[in-house]
Amino acid sequence: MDKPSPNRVKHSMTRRELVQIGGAALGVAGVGSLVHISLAQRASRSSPPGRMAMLIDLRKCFGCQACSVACKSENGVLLGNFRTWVGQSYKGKYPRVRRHFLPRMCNHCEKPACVKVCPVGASYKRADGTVLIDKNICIGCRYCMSACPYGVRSFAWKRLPDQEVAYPSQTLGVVDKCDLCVHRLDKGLVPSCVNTCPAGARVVGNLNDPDSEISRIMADQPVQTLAPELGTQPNVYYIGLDQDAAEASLESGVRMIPAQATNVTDRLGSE
Amino acid sequence: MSSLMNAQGIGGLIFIVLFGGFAIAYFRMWQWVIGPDGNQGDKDS
Amino acid sequence: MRETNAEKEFAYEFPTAAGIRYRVAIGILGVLVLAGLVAWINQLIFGLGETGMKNSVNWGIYMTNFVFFIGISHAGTLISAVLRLLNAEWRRPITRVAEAITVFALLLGGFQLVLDSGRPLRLVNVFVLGRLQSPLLWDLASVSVYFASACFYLLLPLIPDLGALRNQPGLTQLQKKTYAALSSGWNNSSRQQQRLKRVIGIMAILIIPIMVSVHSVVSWIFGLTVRYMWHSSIFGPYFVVGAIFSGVAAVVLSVAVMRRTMRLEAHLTALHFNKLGALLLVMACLWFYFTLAEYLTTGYGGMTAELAVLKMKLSGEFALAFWAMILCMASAFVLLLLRKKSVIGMTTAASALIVVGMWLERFTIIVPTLTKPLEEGYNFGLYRPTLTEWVISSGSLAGFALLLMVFARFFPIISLWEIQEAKDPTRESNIGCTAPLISGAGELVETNV
Repeated sequence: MDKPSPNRVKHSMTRRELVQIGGAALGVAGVGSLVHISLAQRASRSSPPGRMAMLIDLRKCFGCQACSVACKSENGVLLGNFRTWVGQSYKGKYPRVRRHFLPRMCNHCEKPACVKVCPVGASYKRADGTVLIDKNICIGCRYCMSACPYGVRSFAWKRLPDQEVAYPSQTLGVVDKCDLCVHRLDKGLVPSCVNTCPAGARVVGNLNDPDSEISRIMADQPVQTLAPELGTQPNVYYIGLDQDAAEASLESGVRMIPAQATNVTDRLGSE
Repeated sequence: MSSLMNAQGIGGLIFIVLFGGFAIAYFRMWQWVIGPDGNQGDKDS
Repeated sequence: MRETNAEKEFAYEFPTAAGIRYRVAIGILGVLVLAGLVAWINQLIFGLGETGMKNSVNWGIYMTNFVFFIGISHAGTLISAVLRLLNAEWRRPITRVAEAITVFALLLGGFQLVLDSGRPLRLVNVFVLGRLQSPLLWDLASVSVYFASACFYLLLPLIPDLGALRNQPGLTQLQKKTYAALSSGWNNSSRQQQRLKRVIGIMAILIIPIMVSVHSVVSWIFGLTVRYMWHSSIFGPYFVVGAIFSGVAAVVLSVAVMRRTMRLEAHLTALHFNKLGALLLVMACLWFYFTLAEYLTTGYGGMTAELAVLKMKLSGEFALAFWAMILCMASAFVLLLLRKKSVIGMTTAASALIVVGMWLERFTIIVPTLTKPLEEGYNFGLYRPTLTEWVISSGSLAGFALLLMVFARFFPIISLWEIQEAKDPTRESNIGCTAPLISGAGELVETNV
């Protein structure tokens, strides 16, 4: 055949058209799925607006660690990780010595450093103010752990031997932290640590509600936060926070055993 | 403020636009260097 | 440059025969890579707990390697692009290897992030759900653009050489096909030569801001947090300087090895090492200046929490790493100052010290800031890399060397047309004229353009 048959010309045009249509369809599908995932994600993260905060009265705390234990058992926190803990330090020399107890946890900051840096948006701040981790999305890069100046985040380093993950807190290869027991909050209960504290030192509530217990107490009492100069605007407030104890806690993190409590005086003095 | 912090989903788009854009630009540059006489095999002085 | 009469002395044996030393080296590197893979699979199964990382020190030598490799990748850009723009003639024999180092270092560097991820299969989330506000995403964007640019900047100047060599005797079938495919359409016309030079010129300018952005963004992963001794405005330029410093040193090391093993003494002479040594001296001065500025500001300013980290580096738990780094850099500096005594040897030794020192620098930037609390305890305390991490790290380094060695075997590791262009700049059809420079199986061959 010398001249190209009409059939052959039509065939190549159709193939090109097919490729174009296919490419456009792929593009639409891609963008569509991106939008769908974003929207679905946003939907599951919805909550009534608010500013959830915790107030810890350090005049009442006597370091029994019941809150640490309750949190561990409520959330199935892995060995070596803590969602909340009570740091201990002491100042002075016997007989003029005082022990300081400092319950610590995620501060659910107004301007969370962790949320800022998360590359996939697994760390997010809900409308009610709680800062949460979406364990289905977290890629385990641990940038949030590096960014958090308070050291409140932990990681599921080891695969559990029985291969069973009974609690979200145990999800392998993702970051974990205090989530203010949102599974309890959403049912109208208080977090486990608040529930357990025998001294009633912990109070949780919505700061945007002037009638909530936390707002009423904070209207009366001077309160302090940890490292306010860092700009994170933490939502965990303390009554009676000793500044040296606070700085020592940020430096030294977990202190569970009284014998290991930091001697704050020495820390500032001879070193 | 929180909506700005949480806005997401466009990371992939940025990547496609940037990386894809550069890749396409480089491919076009390559084609430009080879040029229209690239397939003729003769050399002009 | 040593003048030579016999062009055969200048000959670069290509295709390179794979001697016994080459095969043994490939074998050793292959074993290291395999060991790294096995260790990685173990890590995937049992989790990142196989490493020495913990809740406080949640980043360790994988992140160190990441910053290190990305730093090394700045070699190609400086030598290939900046020296081109400055018309530094001595760059010609080393541009190809510098460009190759850039590509492979970026590959291995990016891979460190995969190694460090707790859920590597979910990494696609970064593309689907990526947040523009995260410096890690800026990192993905700039590194991938740099990678595309580096690949292009390696392949484009390779075309004339491949075009000239595609019918060279001794090529494998795969090589022939690859060369023909990559150089398809290249016929060495003067129009193509002009266009090639034009695009290379554009790339040389374009790739510099890309390079600066890459390591600035990498530094901002740390610098934009509020962690003590990370939150420093000097990190951007500090890291870029350090990257160029380590990159040039890596090029020197590669060139030194190439020179001996591939018998390229005629092409890579004392002159090159002298110039590279001078370049390293300049970078060393810059690096020392930035380091001094950083530590002086922290130490004199005296903020308690920052001082705690500084103390760990200067006299505490990380003093060994810190002072080893200083010793490496200072010794390298002295060697470079006195390099005239034995240019090639001393510059190479200095480069080895610099590469080690820069790795230690990355380590002492990343780990001490994270080390809190200081005392030992389950999941807290001092970080000690485990065997898993060392095996995976050495596998990564071996992978890099392996890629470079394979590239040097199957592609001309010296940019032949650029050398030819220098030898006879008046002659227009220099590009693609590799004949006097190539010897295959010990013979000169005709130009086949």
